[in-house]
Amino acid sequence: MSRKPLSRVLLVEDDPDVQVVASMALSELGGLVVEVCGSAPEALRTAPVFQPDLILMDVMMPGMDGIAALEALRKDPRLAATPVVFMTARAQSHEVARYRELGSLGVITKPFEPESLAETLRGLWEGRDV
Amino acid sequence: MTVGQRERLESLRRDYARDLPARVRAIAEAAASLEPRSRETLQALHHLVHRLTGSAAIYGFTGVSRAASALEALVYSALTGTAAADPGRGPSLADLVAALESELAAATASDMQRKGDP
Repeated sequence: MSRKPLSRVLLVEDDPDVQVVASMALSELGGLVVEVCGSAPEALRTAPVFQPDLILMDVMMPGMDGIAALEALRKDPRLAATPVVFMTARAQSHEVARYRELGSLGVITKPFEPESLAETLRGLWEGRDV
Repeated sequence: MTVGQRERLESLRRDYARDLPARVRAIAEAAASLEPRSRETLQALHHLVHRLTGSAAIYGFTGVSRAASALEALVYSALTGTAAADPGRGPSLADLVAALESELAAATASDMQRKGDP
């Protein structure tokens, strides 16, 4: 049985400089439909409406961070099963293990290569347990 | 990647490069006006430096990102109270800001040379 291809990505990133290049990488280079949120609370409001296949989220954001956002997403029945991939510069093995324990699908290390961001995300999407 | 996509990426990089001196200046000013024992000013500085560490590397300014990362580590350790017991050990905040400014100058010079290349 073939899996549904990755199509819709909710990008959650507070830094406008990273937003613009990640969004371009995912949409223009990667052919994905992308919605951008600048904060975790905004993502929690947007996700039920946008209905992403996957959420790509920065870990370190002011106010509510990515980990708190993931916990909030998991409590919402509409979003509990939506895979979350974290982006972080802090990707030591114990931190990656912790993010996985918390239920993230994977971790993309910053800095990422814009040219391969969508491909990396598709790899994680296709390798997930369904 | 098509020529158009490559040009679009390069255009984003140029925009970022144009704004880079202002970002480094904001960090230098935040570091200079740091108030002793003020967690708020330290957090504001950390926020600025953390952003620069991540974004500069993505846009290909690896030297600037490395210098920002060293500064971020020092600010983070001050924020979390894990700074070295002997503040005389290791580079100071001023040293790391100067190193960041030096990397910016090198990146700017390299960019200007690149633009001058045929």
